[in-house]
Amino acid sequence: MTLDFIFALVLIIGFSAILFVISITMTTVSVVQYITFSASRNYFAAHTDPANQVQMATQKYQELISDPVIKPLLSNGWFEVLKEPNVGDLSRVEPALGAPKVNTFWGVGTSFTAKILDFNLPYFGKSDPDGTGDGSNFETYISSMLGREPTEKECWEFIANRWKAIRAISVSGGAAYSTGTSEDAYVPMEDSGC
Amino acid sequence: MVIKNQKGQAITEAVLMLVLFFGVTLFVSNYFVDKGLVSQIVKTPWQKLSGMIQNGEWETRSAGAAHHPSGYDRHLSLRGEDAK
Repeated sequence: MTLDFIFALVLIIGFSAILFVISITMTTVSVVQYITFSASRNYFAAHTDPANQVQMATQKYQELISDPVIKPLLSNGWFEVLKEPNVGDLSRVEPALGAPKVNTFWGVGTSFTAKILDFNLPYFGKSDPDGTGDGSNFETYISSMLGREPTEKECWEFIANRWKAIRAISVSGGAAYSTGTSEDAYVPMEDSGC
Repeated sequence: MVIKNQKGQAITEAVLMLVLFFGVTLFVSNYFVDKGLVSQIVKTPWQKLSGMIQNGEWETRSAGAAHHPSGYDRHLSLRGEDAK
């Protein structure tokens, strides 16, 4: 009976361990997904210039992965995410997302490795018999791409050059905007952003 | 032949049971390892799961990348037509 019990116990503990690693991986994926979403929201807002947008996104991302509740999960060797997230035109930053055609996908992303899924259970065997044991076969990419607003700096550059661009428009069948107008009389004026 | 002393029967049966259960355990364990049971439960689903996490598509990461919205031809105008 004792041996029977031990045998059953090993089986149950083994299957429980497998269910646990799968469940904790799914949970962590959701958490990291939200972290990229939150960082992406910080990236989206206009701010002063593009560098500032990147800085705000990175700051939010690092703040969240350093949270006392989340940090142990991401630094105990079970999971691995980037310390510095990918911020910007993700479809060009991350080749795994494939070649973009019309690129409108800006946001925040990180690689995610579930090292916890690469294990060797006694009596059950390895989860990745062909792997090196570092979890490299359990990698994926998590991202949120909400876009990016034009910044104040870009807005001003656009406004400053707007009249010049209007005057340069090629017009057929009528007078060009450059006819009878002057570039010097233009006063750049911001009206609720771009 | 009559065995007069039968005191060792319990321990003999216990050893036989031990061998039997140990054998069954080893057999099941070898079956799991040979069939790659854990790998089938964990690694095989991960191939498509990682693709879903990355691309939102029940494909492997590389196959699903083609179906990621960033790979679609989108109908939008980045530049207007020239004035006429």
